[in-house]
Amino acid sequence: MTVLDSVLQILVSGITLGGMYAVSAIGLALLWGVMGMLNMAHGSLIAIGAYASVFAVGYLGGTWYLGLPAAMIVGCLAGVLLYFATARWMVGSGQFEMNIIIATVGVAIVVKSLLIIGFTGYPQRQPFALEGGIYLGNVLVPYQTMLIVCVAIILMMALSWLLKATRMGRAIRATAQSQKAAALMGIPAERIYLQVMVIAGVLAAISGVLISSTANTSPSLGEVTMLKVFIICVVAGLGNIPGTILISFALAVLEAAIQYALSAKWAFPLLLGIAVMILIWRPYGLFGAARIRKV
Amino acid sequence: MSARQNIALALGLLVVLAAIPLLTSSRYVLGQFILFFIWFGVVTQWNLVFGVAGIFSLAQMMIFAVGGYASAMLAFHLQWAMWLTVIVGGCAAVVTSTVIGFATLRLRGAYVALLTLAIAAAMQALIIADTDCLSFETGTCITLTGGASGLSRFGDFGFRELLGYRSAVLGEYYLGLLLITVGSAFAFLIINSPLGHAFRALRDNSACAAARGIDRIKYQVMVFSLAGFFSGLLGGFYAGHFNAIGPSILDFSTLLFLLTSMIVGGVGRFWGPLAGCAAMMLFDELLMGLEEWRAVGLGVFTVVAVILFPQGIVGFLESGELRRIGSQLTGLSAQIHHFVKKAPGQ
Amino acid sequence: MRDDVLKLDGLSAGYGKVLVLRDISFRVSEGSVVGIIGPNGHGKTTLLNTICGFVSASSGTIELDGGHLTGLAPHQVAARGVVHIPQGDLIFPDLSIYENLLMGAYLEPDGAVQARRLASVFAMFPKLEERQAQMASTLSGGERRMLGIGRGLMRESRIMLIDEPSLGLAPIVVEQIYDTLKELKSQGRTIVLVEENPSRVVDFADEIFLIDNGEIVWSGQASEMEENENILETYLGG
Repeated sequence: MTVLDSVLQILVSGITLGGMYAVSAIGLALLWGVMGMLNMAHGSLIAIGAYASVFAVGYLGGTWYLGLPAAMIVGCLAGVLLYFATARWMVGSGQFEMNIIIATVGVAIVVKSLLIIGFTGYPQRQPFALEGGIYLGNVLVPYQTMLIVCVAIILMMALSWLLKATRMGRAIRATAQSQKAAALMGIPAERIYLQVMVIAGVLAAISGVLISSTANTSPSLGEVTMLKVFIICVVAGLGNIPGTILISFALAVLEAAIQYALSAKWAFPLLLGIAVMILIWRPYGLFGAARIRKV
Repeated sequence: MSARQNIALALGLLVVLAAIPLLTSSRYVLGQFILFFIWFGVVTQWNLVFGVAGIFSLAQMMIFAVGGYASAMLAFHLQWAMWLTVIVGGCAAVVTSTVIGFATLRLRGAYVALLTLAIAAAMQALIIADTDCLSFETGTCITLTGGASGLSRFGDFGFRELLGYRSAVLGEYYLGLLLITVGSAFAFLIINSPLGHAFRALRDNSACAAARGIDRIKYQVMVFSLAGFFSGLLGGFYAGHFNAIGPSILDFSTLLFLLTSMIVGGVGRFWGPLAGCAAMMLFDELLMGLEEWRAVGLGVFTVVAVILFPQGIVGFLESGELRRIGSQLTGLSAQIHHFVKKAPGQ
Repeated sequence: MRDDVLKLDGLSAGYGKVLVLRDISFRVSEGSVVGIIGPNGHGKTTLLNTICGFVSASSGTIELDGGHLTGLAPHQVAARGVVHIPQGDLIFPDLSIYENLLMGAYLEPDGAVQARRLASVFAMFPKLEERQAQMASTLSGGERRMLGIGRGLMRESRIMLIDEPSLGLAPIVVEQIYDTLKELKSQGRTIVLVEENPSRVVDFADEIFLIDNGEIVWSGQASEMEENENILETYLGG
């Protein structure tokens, strides 16, 4: 293998990882940006999506690609349920920031246990996957990689269109910038929160399908991913969506490089070390602005 | 409640807890109480960092694990006495805690939470991935941290030799009680000291506190270090009590159980950790027969508790809501009294 | 006798246990301009926030065209036809000027109506049209205020509540803003205007209420105000 091959190999795995992380991280960033909500049940949404696809194809006998729409529908429902189980009761209260963490943690425990009860704890194969690939020089580029990157790009474009060009998207952005002004325009905050939860649920569920297609589907699938996604969001600056996408790819390529050069064991600790350094240098992340605290 | 009432209540509770072994000799019950002491002690220290100082640190179990692992490793590899290694464990926890305190110094809120959570996860990942053999003893590979299966049979506090097999648990029971008493006394002093007021000022309005000359950096690192010491001691006690330690103490679920205990009890309040840990452990005990549905029940309990008592159980008890009901009751009783007194005369 | 658009009856409100407003009652009739003046920190902004539903009333009622506003959420109050142009503008800094104006028409889904309103706002503030693609955060103080007013004109309203439109602006810009407000008045709009500085309100409003310490301490026609200079002196320090 030449140096070029190594670089190519790292880029291929890095971009695959980056696509999956970005889809997942956007949902988390959106929830933080619009409602100041740190969603600890994000990992649950990821796992739910992966299992929705497994269930639709493996148990109900659909074609492999039906896993994705199944995950989207279930992710949407999960977002609605999550809203009514947690945020609905605490938005606007003084302890929201802290209590929503605990409430979503509770949901995460419930979801994980239910998944174990329903699907056993044993890993299952994700049917949303393509076999084979093409060779670029000496490097194999699996079709699955292309599939993941395509899905990620389509989703990001769709989200960007939704936020930029629709009435709902404008209202979401307006609410994120000033809740009071949005209310004065007649925008019901609850409806916006619900919409954002649904978007986050759908995105996380799809990312669950993608992530489990490169590994396996297990009830703890979401937890590992969630931590990496947390790091991405924090390094980018919580709530900044373009920054989050950029950092997703940057950290994923870095992770792939560390895995390639050292071993998989060191990838996460090293990534974390880099994240800590960045945060010490810039406490609000690379693209985050300090929120001015009220005096 | 005044400080005097708090102390009286605490002493009363202490007497009750000290008398429990007189009421039962069940090893299971006493074992559960020891576990309660450990979790309650950990949450008390966490509450100082999280609730009183207002630093959203999720590294508490990691600091606990550092104490536990340091004690266990010294006892295992160097055959040090457990009593000594626990102290060293406490000091190791102080160092870790202080480093984390500095690393998160300039961060606020959710950033601290996410970062500390990730640091704890990284520590667990590294322990599980630790497969490099230090030595081969009787044909098995001995690793530094014990890897995924952890370390065990490295010694305990020697109560078995001292008190005999049947009463050994009593020694650990009272050692645990001593630890939480000292830890709670420390927490009480912090909460009611000028330092505690400074923390509250910092938490409620850091800009204002800074203007009054309260040095955030100094206090934040100080509370991290001191709380770290007691957490590390408890980690060592945990390792000595179970004569084992493994990476599972860094599991997300353990952290969440304790975090929930803290929030459900009432963040930043002296009685919060006690109320929260007691409620969570009792509820967990009640669900014992449900097997795999136990975790579901615990999760639902968590969500419902946070929605119903956003200020925690203690916050709810202290809030005007209860006082209002109380004053209505006294008002009612006064009316009845008035009515009863008047009635015979008419 | 013209119909009352807004009617406040015995309204008290505050934050927590602290009452900021006590027993406020007044009426605003169709097409009239009511000025509310008084020293800073004495409840003028709280009054508008209570009408809009941001602060809940502890007693008393608020009625719009005979229907209750009391207890409604802010977005519901907005949907009834109350346009509030708040203190400090509260524009959306990271939306473009065009998008800010569109948000003003959130409750008006009809594209044709939106376009007509947009045209009239642009006619009133040509500067906004020039810069419509820019982010609102790039605007100067006076332009932000114009955007705030323009955004408020993007939908049908029964009453406009305008909070301190001259705050922090250079005199020449204040002049422009008041020219705009006079134009709105001449269109027959019903307006409640809050100002700390009484001199402009006296020229502009039909009726004036003086709020001090959360209570209405004086009310009357704007023309009577000048005859009662001692009131101004007592409450506003001349």
